[in-house]
Amino acid sequence: MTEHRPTIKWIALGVCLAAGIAIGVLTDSLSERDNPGLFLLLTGVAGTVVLLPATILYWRSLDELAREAHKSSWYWGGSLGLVATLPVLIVFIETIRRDGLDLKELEPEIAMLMGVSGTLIVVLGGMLLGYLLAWGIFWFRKR
Amino acid sequence: MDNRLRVLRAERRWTQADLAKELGVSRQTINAIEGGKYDPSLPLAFKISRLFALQIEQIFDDGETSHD
Repeated sequence: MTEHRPTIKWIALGVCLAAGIAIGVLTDSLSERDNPGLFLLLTGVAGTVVLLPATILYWRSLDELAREAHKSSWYWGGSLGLVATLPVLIVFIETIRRDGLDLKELEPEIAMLMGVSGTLIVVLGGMLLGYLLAWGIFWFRKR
Repeated sequence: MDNRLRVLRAERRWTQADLAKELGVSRQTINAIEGGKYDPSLPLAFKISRLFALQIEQIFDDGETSHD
């Protein structure tokens, strides 16, 4: 049976928050680095080394209902959030086409980066919003 | 699923927080179980039954238990 351990939960969340801020600050200084690719790789590896045990600790600190909330939110919120991003992506692409932004005029690397990062932001953002909404609804219904 | 958890807890003058601490779960979990909005896992149901020294059927009622 899973045990509710609030102190460990908040410590793990704090570590995740601190690691997220550190990764953001380090990534922001990417252009000043001599070897940005290697720097990004090392930042990612260091982030994983810190975040992986922290997320495992967080999960183990939750009791069964809190875990159920996350599992339900991941499935329903994540899936429906993903589906909901499709119209946004279509509008996004249609806007680019209609406004005459020709990606061919840009450097290929920049165009690819814009396309990939734009799509990731929309898709992951939609999934995250769906997740948070489903998580809130779950607890509202169990109150 | 109906249950007598709220009654059993009240008989012992425990708060939801007290019971949650005894069972190693959050107060929200106790509240959801008492309100019939969450059915506990089998391990948690056994833990509850051991704490109150009752059989699981004496605490939880799935509506199909014979009362003869």
